[in-house]
Amino acid sequence: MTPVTDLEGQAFSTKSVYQAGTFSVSLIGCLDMETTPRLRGFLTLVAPEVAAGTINAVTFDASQLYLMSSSAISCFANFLKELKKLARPCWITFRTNPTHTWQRRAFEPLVRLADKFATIE
Amino acid sequence: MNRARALVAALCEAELGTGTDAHNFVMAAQELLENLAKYAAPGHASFRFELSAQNGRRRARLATRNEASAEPLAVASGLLGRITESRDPVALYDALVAESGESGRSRLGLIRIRAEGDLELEYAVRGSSLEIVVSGDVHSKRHSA
Repeated sequence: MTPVTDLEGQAFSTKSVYQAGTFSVSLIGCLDMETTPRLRGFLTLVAPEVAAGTINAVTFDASQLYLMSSSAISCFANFLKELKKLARPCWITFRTNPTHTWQRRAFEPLVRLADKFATIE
Repeated sequence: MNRARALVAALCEAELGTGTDAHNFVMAAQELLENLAKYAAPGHASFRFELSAQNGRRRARLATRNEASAEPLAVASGLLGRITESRDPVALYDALVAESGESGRSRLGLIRIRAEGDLELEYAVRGSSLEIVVSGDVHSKRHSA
């Protein structure tokens, strides 16, 4: 897989690992209208790897995510819509922090959008 | 914007705890503040947050008021009309998520307040001024989920 450089920053950063077709991304900090454009750029680099078959599963780990605004929900929605167009499946998992009960409610519309290949843990 | 949201979060945590009520109002505050940042015309804009208790009923209320030029005001007014009149906010949210980004805008913040937060949403347009009010019952910290 072509290396994807993690995002760095005080407000929002990512920490990603690729292993045997699974791309795991920790989302760290706050995703709002200021930080989401950087996530959008990051996901733009991931989508072609899915299309090429290098990645067959993506896990977004939100255990260290403290805020997610509608800007980020829209960003994830667009990513999922891109994946929907692909012929081959790619499994998406949003892994939530059980102590942040809002996360499950925030990710639910994304799973309804892509219920054939996206899940919440 | 971050300071205003942090202030709402601190007030909510102090009075409501860290449960669903607190999160819903922090989420709504963030969405309203982002709307102000994106769509308010230069000049005066206001953001208010109130926690009140009357006759044993505790309420929280967020209100924004801003000036906007004709085009964004018409778009916001149309969207707010659909959201406030919707009998099934979750279905409308899903439809807007499916359309999101096509116009270069998310258009999800206000419907999220109703569908995810289950909060009351009202709006008024007076000339070039838009006022949005979000309100709901809340529970005190010791009863927070």
